[in-house]
Amino acid sequence: MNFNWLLDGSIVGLYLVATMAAGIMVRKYVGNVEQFLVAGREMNVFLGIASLAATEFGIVTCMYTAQGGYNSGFAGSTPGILQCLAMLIIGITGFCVKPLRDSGVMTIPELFEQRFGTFIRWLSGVVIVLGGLLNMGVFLRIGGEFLVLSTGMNEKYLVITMTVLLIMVAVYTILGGMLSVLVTDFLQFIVMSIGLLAVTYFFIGSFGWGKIVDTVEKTHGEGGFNPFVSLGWESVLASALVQTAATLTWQTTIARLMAAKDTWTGQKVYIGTSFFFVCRFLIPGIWGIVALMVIAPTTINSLPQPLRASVSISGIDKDTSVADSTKQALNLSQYTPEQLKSMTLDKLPEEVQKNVNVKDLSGSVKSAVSLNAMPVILGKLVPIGLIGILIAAMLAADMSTDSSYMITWAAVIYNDILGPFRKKKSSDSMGLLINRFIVMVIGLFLFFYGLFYKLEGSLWDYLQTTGTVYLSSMSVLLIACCYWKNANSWGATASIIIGAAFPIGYLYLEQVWGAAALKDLGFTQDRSKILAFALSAVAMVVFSLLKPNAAETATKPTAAA
Amino acid sequence: MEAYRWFWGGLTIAALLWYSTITIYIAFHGVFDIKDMLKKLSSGTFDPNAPEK
Repeated sequence: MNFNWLLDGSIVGLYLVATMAAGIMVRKYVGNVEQFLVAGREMNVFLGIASLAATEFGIVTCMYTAQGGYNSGFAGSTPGILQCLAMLIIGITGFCVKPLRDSGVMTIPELFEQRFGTFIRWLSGVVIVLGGLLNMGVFLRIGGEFLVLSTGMNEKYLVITMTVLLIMVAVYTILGGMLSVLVTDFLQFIVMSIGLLAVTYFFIGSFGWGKIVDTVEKTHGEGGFNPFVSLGWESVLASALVQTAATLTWQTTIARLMAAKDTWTGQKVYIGTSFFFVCRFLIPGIWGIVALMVIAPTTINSLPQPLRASVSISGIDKDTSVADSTKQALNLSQYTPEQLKSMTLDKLPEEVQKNVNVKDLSGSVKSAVSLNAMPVILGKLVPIGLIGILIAAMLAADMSTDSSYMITWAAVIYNDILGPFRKKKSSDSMGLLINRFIVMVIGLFLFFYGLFYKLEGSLWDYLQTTGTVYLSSMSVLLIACCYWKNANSWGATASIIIGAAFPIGYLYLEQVWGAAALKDLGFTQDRSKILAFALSAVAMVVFSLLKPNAAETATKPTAAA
Repeated sequence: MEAYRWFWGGLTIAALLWYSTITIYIAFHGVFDIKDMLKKLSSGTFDPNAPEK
């Protein structure tokens, strides 16, 4: 590994000190809950673009988009193009976001209360937090694994790395709230962008563009360029739905709209950030393609040692998608279930590593190989000095994402889940104290969930599925709330329950039966997402019309009006 | 296949150029946004009950 602890470590250390100092310094400007949660609504366009871009790019983003490049070539960047289009169109037209910002609320559920009542506000808060926390639950672990693999750090330091990262982020987020998040996001955007661009130019300069494209063509054929060939229309449709819904309702994105100094500034932030979403997928996607070029997986022993050491084969004995002949070649019967749980590819006998092909292994093993290939090649290929900038950039990306996720989900917990139970308005100091406590609890959740959750299948699929828990129903509710006068609380309740049931059901069954068994039954992640969106919308319409006093509700003005 | 190569090549060039430019631009203008925001917050012009701008 090229990481030099003196030179590169100093670059990383300098960045960390600067970020912490900036984050803590602005805490004195925070005097009440609104300043803590939405920075007093004083955010302007350029700071908004920097903050949104930094938040929407974390290590986890870099990992799954690179995985997309590794598995599907350029076609893996398709979700970025879809989100760019969604963001641009919504920014220009103000679709939903204009009435939402004009209403002066701090969160989406607060808007729903005006239209559907307190219970829907509370229920919306619950699914937003559930989906959001499940989604961000893997961030810390993936971030720690990236650092371990790219710096060559011993794996036993993974938990310590996760803890230190979390504490640093929690300190400035707890003290300065959204204000600290915005200021550190700005610094993090600069550092992150320098690192991302420098490494991409380095790769293109070192390997040549032609060779990168040839690798895609040779490995994936037309599917490496055309998403309809490699990913299929269901995947593209599911992505389009998720990306549009995320643009409309993703809490961290909406938080920038709410923090903007006025509605048009919020829309300009959307317009200005839209093309970043192409970069967000394409740049790490190129890194993933480079990883494929360097590590073309054939037999297990063709993989570099750090990569083999990072891939667990736990559960492979029960995986129905792995052929019996492969299981025999792996000679799994000689291991106890306990030994298998902690078994990684590098611990298999050399003879087995030489004879078993990676493509014959289980989906979770292949997924781990494609996920971890990119950080391993970064550690091997990026030279001293530049790797320090890269690690600082990745830390910047991760810290900005974690801090923003903590503060924005804390806003929903405080405002919408606990809010309806508060009989009278809390004092500023009590409100701040509660918010800081919530941020701390979210940090603890992140830590423990990251330690214990085992990721099945691709990271991107997991993130989309957990996000769909609320994206499907919240986008339906938001559109109905702003533009459909017949929408009411019955429709909203049914929409929320159905929208959450499919993704949660899928994740549960995936853990119990495994992704391969579900696929055999025709229940894929993409189908669960499409069904969640479609049935959530149907439920909104059908149940709204079924409510006895629907006509009376129809006379009430929409929140937008 | 040639059309695909041109499309992704063009998109990559556009992404790198745009991202390089916007980073410099935002690095410069973002500082003024932060100064402005902190100035307004410290001078007490922020009023959570004031009507929307």
